[in-house]
Amino acid sequence: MQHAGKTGHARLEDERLLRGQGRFVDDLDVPDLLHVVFLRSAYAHARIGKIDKSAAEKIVGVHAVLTLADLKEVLTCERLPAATPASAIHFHVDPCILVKDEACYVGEPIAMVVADTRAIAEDAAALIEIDAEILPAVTEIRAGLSPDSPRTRLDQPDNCVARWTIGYGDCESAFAKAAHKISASFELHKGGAIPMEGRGLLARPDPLDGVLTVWDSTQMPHRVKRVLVTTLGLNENQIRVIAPDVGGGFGPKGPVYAEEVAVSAAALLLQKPLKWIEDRYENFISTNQERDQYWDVEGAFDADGRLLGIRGTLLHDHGACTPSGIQLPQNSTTNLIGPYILPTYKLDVSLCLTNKTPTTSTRGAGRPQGTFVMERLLDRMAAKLGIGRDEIRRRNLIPADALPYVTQVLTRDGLPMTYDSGDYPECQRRALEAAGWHDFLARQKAAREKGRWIGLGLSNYVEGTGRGPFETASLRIGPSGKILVASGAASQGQGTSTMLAHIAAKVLGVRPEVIDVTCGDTHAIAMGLGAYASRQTVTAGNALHAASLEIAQKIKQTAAHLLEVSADDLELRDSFVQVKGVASMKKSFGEIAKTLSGNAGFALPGGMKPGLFAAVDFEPPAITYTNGTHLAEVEVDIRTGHIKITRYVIVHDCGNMINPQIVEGQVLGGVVHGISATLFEWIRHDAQGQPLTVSLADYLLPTAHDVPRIEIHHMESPTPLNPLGVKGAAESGTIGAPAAIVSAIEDALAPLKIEINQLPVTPQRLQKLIRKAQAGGSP
Amino acid sequence: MDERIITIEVNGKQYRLKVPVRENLADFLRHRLHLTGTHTGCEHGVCGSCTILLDSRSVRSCLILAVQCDGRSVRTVESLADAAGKLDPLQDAFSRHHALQCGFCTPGVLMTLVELRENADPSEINEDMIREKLSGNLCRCTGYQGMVDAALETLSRPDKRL
Amino acid sequence: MKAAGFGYHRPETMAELLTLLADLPDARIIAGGQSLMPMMNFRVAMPQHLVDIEKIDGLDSINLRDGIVQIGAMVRQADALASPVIKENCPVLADAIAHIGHQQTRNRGTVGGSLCHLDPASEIPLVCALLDAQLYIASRRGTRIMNFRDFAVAPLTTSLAEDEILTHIDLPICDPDTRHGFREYARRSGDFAVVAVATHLRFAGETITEARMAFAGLGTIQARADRLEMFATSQKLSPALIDKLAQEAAQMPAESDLHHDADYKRHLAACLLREVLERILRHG
Repeated sequence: MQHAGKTGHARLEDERLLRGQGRFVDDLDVPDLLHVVFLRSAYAHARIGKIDKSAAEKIVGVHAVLTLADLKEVLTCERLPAATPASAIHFHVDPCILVKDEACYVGEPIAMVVADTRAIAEDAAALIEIDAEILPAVTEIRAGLSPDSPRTRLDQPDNCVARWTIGYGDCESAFAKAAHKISASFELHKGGAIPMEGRGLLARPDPLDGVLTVWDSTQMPHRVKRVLVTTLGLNENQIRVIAPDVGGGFGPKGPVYAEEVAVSAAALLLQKPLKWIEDRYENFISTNQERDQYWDVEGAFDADGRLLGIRGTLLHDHGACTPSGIQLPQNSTTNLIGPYILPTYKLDVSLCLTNKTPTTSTRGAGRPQGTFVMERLLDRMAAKLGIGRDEIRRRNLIPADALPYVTQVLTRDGLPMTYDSGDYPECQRRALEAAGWHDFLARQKAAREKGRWIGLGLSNYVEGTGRGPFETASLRIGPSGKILVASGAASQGQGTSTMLAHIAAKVLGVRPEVIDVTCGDTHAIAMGLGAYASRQTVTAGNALHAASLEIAQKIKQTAAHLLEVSADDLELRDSFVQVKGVASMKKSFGEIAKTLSGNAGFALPGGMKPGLFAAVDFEPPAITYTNGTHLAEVEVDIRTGHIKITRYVIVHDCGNMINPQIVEGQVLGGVVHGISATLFEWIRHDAQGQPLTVSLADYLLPTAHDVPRIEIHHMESPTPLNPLGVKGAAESGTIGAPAAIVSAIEDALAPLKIEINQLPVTPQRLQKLIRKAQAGGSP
Repeated sequence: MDERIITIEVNGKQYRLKVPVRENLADFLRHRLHLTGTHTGCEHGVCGSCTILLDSRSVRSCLILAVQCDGRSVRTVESLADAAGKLDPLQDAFSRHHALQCGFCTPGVLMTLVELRENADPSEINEDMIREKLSGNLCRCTGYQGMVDAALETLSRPDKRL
Repeated sequence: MKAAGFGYHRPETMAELLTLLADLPDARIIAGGQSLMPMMNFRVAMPQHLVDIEKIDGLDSINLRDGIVQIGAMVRQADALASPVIKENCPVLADAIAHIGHQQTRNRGTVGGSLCHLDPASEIPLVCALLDAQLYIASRRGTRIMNFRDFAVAPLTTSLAEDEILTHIDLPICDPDTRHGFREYARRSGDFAVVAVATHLRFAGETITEARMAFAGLGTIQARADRLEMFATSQKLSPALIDKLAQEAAQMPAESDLHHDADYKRHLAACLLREVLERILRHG
């Protein structure tokens, strides 16, 4: 495939952002703007009584102090209609718009202050007095699932919000006949998304046109609109949601939150423009995160190390509500299978409600944990059998000629999870070669002789991308000749506009810079979904591709009438349609559009249909699977437990690439997110459910100095599932990283026979394992 | 509310304004001067998104009060392009090396690198030094690699590049 | 996350400053603000008055005299790091400052601010403990000089009275008979130390005539490790002595915090001390 990018095309988004002319939501200002601060629960679990607002209301500059009772005037309901359907869920717990009488996590919004400035609103919020009766909190999932546990919410029967079994085949027989078995327990933590820009919105009611415009730092503006229509009881033409420049999303800006409804409702109630900008402290306590999963698993293998089955249990910390159903743990369970032949599988999954911030997907969305479990089982079995870690994988990888490969589990859309294209063994082979796998033993031996502990680890994984049900794109050319693209896709830095412009430009024979792309505006296009599941190139890209083809065809047909030639003799070049090889015989796109915009009373030429406008909803027939192999090389300082990643190599296959530079950017960012989840990020609470990591000084993100240079090699196995042959790339980097890094650490410390069963791998944790092993006698 | 009148030079322009004493420089630049290129990502001095140059030295503008900058000179990302609007070579290199994605941290990163350019000997600038200097700026999108490459290309002598 | 309200004062003379400190209730001095401002933005600190000492002359100089390096409280960490006087005469301080924060915070953060904030994991108090820095403290009542060990009461707590200000510190210069060492383990470049160790050994021939060893990050205040020093004094620096000192370091009192427990900190203290001493042994 001919690529854009690396050919001198800068991203369309770059120049504004580099000049400091981005328009993030806190950069927006409107006359008479007031600022909102939320008063949040200071307790993990408490019954909320009287709320005394009087002292706060007296502060100069305060316009209103609002509770749920005050907002009711403009609300149709008390909770967010957020639930994602899932039959496994016993009872849905939608987030409260503001707490009514029971606060269920530290950070849950209870009241809001509206004031002239944020600082004044914070002054006033500190003066609101709340009668709170502290209730026992559920803070640990094993205890939370026991019958005698206190309840996360007083009105629920227990804390087990969902329980199901995923699996297929006769797992018991597989284990009965297995030549080798292995069991392991893992405590896998994954942190938050922590985009550099938190959440935030500006809601402005306009009395002139009766439209409430909401600029919102969201991944899914159309979903926000849908929720606002429902909760505020307005019509679709009375709300416009715009995602302006968004400073990173990575998952948690997908779900709709209480603050988005509460601020919009308050703006309607007060008939004032209101802005709420989440600060970093709020981001740590009130934005959805991932946290803990506990896995107890067994693997059954034949004498040659081929998988016969995996069985076990998974406990998942769900937090205090169910805003996204069971998506996150479901991804963990299905992604465990990865690019391997797994004949039988049985995993009992239990989701525990806890008095902590709700958990939903962050980059990778549960998949890194599933991949981690599979990859650890393979490494451990390789060690047990005395075969290479590469060899055991080769014996279990799905061969290229078996694709498309139908697994025996279903995805959310109810279809069998089917790997559409790729060559997994070849991907691993190339990665091993690029990373010098076969020379590494000699290097490792030499290093060990010098007292240096180096190791090389690998992982293979797949990622389901391009999730449906659809995405929209439209293309319009008017008499000005300007090419206007709109899509329900939304960008948080992925370069979505550039990607779309490149797709349309190639079809229409123009430079991408001349195309004007509008993403994330509900007034620009009626329907849309937005950013989740690494999907927008697949869904919006193909939608726009189809729309562009339709317009290109119509331009040629119209020009054929005007120039009196056959449409087949025409070509599109630089916003003109011209007779091939005869540059003087041409019409501009603007002239074609003007012709098709009609003249009062006259017929359009050749019976053409009016206008140069096409809108396409692309419905992907199924999920398309990206895959990759990661190799991480590490050096461990056994005295401190410090882990330095010295080299990182990826072979990545996301089908055809529209713009390799953007793909690499996505993969790089994803890998560093994965490195971060493996070595640094850890959300901590005390036994009462108080969050302890609420600053960037206590919650660690890697700096430029903590990450290696990352080498990316590409394979391009086009998917048959869409005309562009493309797959997603945005989360893939994260999925393989924890497994590869831990494989490398265990390899470095192989003489000590250390097994790592917890994420993150902090220096303290690792050093204690090292000391324990040393005390045990080896090496 | 306690307020003061301050005189401050920002991007070569003199301002004389009344400010609440508790207003930090980042909020002053963003909301009073409408120079919104400087971003606030944490307001506790860790993320580096609000990095600006105060009398030519990089500082966290969330950790300094506007009133403390009375009589001083500030440069922000908005000062980097030349009078004709042409991008600074560093900005240009950022685009070519895909050193930015969402662009939120970018202005702070650029100002950190401008200080490095103005103070370090190009023959001493190598990848490790750039990574160390950038360790005060968090980015969640790029994995830093593009910015390191852009900085190497722009700030270092050719023999120090990869 | 905005600071609560406060009164702001920017005195231009020392006399004016001392009067403000004597008269204002609940006043906090702001130097570089790199610790105080985050606490104020989080509203963990909500002083009624903030006294900015940036305009006061004479607090930002670095001078060498009579075997002493004198450093003003308002000397920026970046300037201290770049100072040839400090590098030549008190290299252990230069080594330590290189580990503080990032360029942007060192450009604002001050030597005096770091001492007065007194985070138990911070580097400048460690060096002051090691070298028994003399601290000059002024108030309207007069000037007093105290040893760092009397200044540092507890983590985040100094013996400064409300009307007092630290103006400068004296550190002894490092002469040709002394060898210093500094080693820190932090999770990331620029983070506070998990544990840091600084040493200062004076030799007569191969014999240690004066041993100074101090630690930061153990959760207690930065202080010299008397017991270790006693073991080292009058001994030859040898692998056996290093083993002995490392074993002793692994027994030191330490407190667990959110991220690291006392056991790991003690282990690190022993490792880092060993590294520092082995390096001195190797390089003489």
